[in-house]
Amino acid sequence: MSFLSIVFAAFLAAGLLVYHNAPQQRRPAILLALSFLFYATWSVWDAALLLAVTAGVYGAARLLDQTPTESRKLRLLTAAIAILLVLLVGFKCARLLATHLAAAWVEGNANVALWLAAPLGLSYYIFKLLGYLLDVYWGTLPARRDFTSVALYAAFFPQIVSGPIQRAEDFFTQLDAQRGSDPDSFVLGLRRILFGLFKKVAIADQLAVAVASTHGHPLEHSSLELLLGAYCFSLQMYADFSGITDIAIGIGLLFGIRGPENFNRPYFAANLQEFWRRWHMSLTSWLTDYLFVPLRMTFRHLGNTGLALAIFINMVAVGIWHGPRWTYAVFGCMNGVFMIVSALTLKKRNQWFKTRPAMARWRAWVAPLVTFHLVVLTHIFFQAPDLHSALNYLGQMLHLVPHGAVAAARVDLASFGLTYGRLFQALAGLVLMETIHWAMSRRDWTHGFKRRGLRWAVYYAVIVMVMLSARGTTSFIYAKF
Amino acid sequence: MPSSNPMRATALRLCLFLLPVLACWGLLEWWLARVPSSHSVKRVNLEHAAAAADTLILGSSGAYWDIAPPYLPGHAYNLGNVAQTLYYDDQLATRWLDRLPHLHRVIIAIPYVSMFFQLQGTDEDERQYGYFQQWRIPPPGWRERMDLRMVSDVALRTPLFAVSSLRTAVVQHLHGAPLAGPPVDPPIHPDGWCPRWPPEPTELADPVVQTKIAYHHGLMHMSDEVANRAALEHLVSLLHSRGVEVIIVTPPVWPSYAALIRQDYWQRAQADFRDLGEKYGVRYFDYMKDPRFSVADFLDADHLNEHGAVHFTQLLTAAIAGPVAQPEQRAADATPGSHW
Amino acid sequence: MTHEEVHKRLTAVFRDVFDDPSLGISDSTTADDIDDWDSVNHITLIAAVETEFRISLSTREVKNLGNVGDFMKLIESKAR
Repeated sequence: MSFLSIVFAAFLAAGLLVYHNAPQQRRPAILLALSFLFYATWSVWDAALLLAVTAGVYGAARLLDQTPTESRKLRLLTAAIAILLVLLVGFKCARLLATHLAAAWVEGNANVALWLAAPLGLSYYIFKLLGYLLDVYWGTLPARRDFTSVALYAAFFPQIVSGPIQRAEDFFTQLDAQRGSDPDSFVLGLRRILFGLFKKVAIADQLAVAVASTHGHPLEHSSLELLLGAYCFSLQMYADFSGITDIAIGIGLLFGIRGPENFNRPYFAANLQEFWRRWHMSLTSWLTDYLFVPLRMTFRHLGNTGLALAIFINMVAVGIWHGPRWTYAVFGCMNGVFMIVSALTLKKRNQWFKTRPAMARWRAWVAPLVTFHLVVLTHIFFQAPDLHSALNYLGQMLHLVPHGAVAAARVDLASFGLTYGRLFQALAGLVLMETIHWAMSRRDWTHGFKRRGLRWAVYYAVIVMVMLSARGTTSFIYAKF
Repeated sequence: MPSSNPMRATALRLCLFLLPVLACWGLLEWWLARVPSSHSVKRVNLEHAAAAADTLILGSSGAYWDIAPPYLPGHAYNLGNVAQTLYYDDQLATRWLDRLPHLHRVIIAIPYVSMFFQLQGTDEDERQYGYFQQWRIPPPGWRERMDLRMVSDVALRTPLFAVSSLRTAVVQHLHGAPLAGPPVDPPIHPDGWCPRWPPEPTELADPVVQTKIAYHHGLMHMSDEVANRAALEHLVSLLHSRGVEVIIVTPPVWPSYAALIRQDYWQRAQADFRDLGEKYGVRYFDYMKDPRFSVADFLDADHLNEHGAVHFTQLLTAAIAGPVAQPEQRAADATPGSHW
Repeated sequence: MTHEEVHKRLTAVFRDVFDDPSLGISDSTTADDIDDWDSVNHITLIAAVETEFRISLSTREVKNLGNVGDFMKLIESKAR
């Protein structure tokens, strides 16, 4: 079941009733059962796979703790990592391989998408378990004795569809704390879910109409419209992805588990390194701790070349984590190159601006704008179905390839499928969203909302906005990963 | 161990909070039950026409728009609908057979796409819920049966439509009109036919046709033929056992569309029709490339406008006219491309 | 090598890596206290410390460093 369905709402309601009425010791087991029930409705085979992989990692971690010799530990770790990575890469590339080897079968068969799709949440749970193994190897965390907690960590259903990728230590600490039912966390969860729905339905889906038009039919649009379309896609992806993260974190909070944040107002970042510390944070911090740091340690005596290499590999990994497509690889490479340039010149740039305070004030405004545009550029490749389309789009947007009767600077909203009303709603929604994000980072932001009447009025208003913007079923961009 | 009191209090507050939301939702559901949809109109019309109907027309938009009941002999009812798959054709006819005492002929329009098309997973898949809500025909897949739109009309036709149609109706009511929802557009005749006017000549341009057929090819899968064939055969065998004559017809399409169809798919469909002809005496009429249709007849590349529908039905009537042929005659008639 | 000596040499390394001649460190200093101390510079710092004290640090040892105090203990245990 998807998050946005009646059966899920019923499942959640029933699950919460059982969970909160059960004694504390039983709760992890109940949550585990709920998670596997949720997962089994997608596919029973994949649920069996999840169980098997988790059991394997549980066993490997306990063995690691008990193995005395360093060399044996390393061998065990390498074997476990290799198996996990083969699983991940194998499933992700299954469709690609099948298309190359048996194209006719793939095309004529309606069930192909179902059979060759990677198991739900594969990327997320494999990364979680990899992280857990490495933590045990490095001694940051002792291997867990109880299988239930490890299985729950991997299968935790609010996070398995599209993250966030929680760290083992954080999760186990919360689980062990046994705080009991907490009404504050419950209400916080409901608020997050509402906020996430608002972002998805009232903002992202409105922008999606414009994006579908410009990205589906670039030839019918002017250069300026294609630029606006590119902006809309970057904004749509932000609203969409941070929306599903909010829903995931919110559902976790209903059960008293707080997941890690994924976004910290990323489009206000002053440079690309800062952007990647604020966008999809659970993934990038995972890659930093488990890929970048080890790589950097290996290359540490190669100076700047080592740094550049580590950054590049890390960013390409970010790209291809999304799937085996050239566009994702190019997306990763572009980010790698931009980040290397940025990282190697940051010190000099800072020094240059220190001696020019007037320009430094401009920099505070211009830097985020420049960074935003670099990101929009990389997103053109992220979104395109193949390299050819991406280059096509880029060429037409920059007016390198004149395209017939459409004037370069025309802006015709109707051709987007947008009306001024919808555009205004999306923009107003974005401003509201960022204001709330900014407020959430301050401590006592709920001060103004002490009166229940006011709070409820706001909630009702948001619910009405969400209902009136809803159109049939929707899918989240990041649920495909 | 019961949950702690603060949790209970919070849960109760949540229920209290949701009460107005559920009440509004209930109001909108009550309202939408009064707003017609293509399914509700067709069902009501069929209930009125069933006693006298002697010919039933089934199929997708190729039947719904392209076949005009007034130009068929006797009393015909058009039960086709947009993107109606053979599963639904079969289910509708099977469920209504007992309420059609005078039925002696069924005409099924099967265009190029239909044998290889299922609704699940396409842009049109929400139609499955309309069939359940109005006709009680469940979707074939179990996942769809768990969707909110099985039971909620507000979820199916969107809350925005419910609210805006209610608002418009209330405003009109305040000006003296009765409280009623907007009529279905385009309008449906009492005999179930939905004629299309005016035509859209830009749809016949080559690039548009190419895009359309590429879109259709994206929807078509050879693996869907099995289920569609089974539904068609079930329908045909049931009608045959009740002595009802079955006629399959392929409506005309624009020549540039016909030029782009894939022969592997089309030959497969033709083979299916031939098989059914041999087993059950089904007659097949293929008008796909019929030269008697001109630009004045078409709505778009694969549908006819009102004028074209009349023209097509008249030709079809002439083709199937006369007494029902003897079994040997029927097998000889059911070769592809036969007219009469 | 005495504790003070280690502290003096380590401060010099910090000042060099973070390009701040006035930087001061104590046992409780963490990455949050110094502006540029991110994962990129952390490794640069490690490499510089290894060169300065002629020791070799493993990823596992580096992972478990909480603050400068841990760092100093690690250096002292290695640089005998």
